[in-house]
Amino acid sequence: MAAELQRQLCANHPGRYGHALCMACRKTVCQECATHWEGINYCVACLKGLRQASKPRGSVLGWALVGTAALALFYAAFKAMVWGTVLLADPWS
Amino acid sequence: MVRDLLSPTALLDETPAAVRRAAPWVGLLWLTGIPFHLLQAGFFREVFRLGSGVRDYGDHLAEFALLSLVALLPALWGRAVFVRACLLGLQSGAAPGREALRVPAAVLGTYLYTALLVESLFYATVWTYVAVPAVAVLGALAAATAHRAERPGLVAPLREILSELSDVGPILALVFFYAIGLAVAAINVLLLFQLGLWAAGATGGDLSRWEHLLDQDLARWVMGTGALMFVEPFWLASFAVLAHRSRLRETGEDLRSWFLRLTRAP
Repeated sequence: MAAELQRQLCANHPGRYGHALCMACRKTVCQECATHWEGINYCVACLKGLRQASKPRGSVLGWALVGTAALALFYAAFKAMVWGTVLLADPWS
Repeated sequence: MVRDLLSPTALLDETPAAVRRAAPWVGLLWLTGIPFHLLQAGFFREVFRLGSGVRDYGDHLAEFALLSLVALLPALWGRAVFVRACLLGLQSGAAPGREALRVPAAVLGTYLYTALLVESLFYATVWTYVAVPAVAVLGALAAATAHRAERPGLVAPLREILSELSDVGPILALVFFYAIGLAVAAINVLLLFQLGLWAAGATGGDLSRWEHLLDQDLARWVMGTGALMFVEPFWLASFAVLAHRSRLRETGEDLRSWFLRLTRAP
C-alpha cells in the first residue's frame, strides 16, 4: 500500500509523491497535506469540512440541552425554595 | 514543595494574594450579590417569623422566592467574573484588566446550569442543616470549575466538579477554616455597627430608632448577610486556587515549573 501510494502524486502538489490516502475523499496526499486525526488520515480540505460540520452541531445541541436544563432547574429551585423552607420552619408538620 | 501544592495551608496562603489581584472585581461581586443576599436573608427571616403558619402564606413566600431567584442571575455573573479574575491572576501573577469581564458564553451557560442545580439542592436540603456546608462547597466548586468549559454540556461540568472532590482533605479543612471565619466576621460586623452607634451617640442625636432596629430580627439577618458577603470573595478565591492547582497537578505543569526553578537555582 505504502509503495503504491508513493508511485502516485499528491492531489494538491503535483510535484510530490503520495504519502497517505484521505479517508473522506479518497485522494492521495503528500506528507504536508495529510493529517492523522483519531487514527485516520485526512486531507486539509476534508479536515476543515469535518471541523466546521461538527462544531456548530455539537454547540447547538449543547446550548439546547444546557438552556433547557437551566430553565428546568430554575423552576425546580423555585419549588424547592418554597417547599424546602416550609420544612425548615415547621419540620414536624 | 510539589506535594504541598494542595495542602490547606498552601491554599489559604495563596488566597489573599489571589483576592488582592482581583480586588477591583470584589466590588462587582458585592454590587451584583447585594440584592440576592438581602432578598435571601429576607426570605429566610419571613420563613422563621411565620413558623408553623408558613403554609398559609404560600403565595407570599412564592413571590419572595421568585424575586430572590431572579436576583441570583446577576449575582452569578458577578461570581463568574470574580473567579475569572482570580484564575487570570493566578495564571499570570499580575492583576487582570478588563479581560476578566470577557467571560466566554460557554462558561456562563455552564455556570448558570451548575449553579441552579446547586441552588435547587441547597433549598431541597436546607431543612437538614448538616447538608448546608456540603452544598456551599459544591457551589464554590461549580464557580471555580465552570471556567474549564470549552463548550456547553450537561455531563462534563458535573464530572469536573466530582473530580475536585476526589481529595476531600483540603476541602474539609477549608470548610472548617471558613466556618470559623464566618463566625468571626459576623461578630465583627455586629460590633462595628454597635461601635458606629456608640460613636454617633456622641453627636447628641436621637439614636433610639436605630437601637430599636438593631435589636430587631431583621438587623441580625442583615448582619449575617454582611458577614457572608465579607467572607464570600475569600471563599471563592480559595476554591479558584484549589481548581487552578489541581489542574496544574493533572497536566504536570507544577513539575515543569518546579524543574525550571531547580535548574535556574544557583
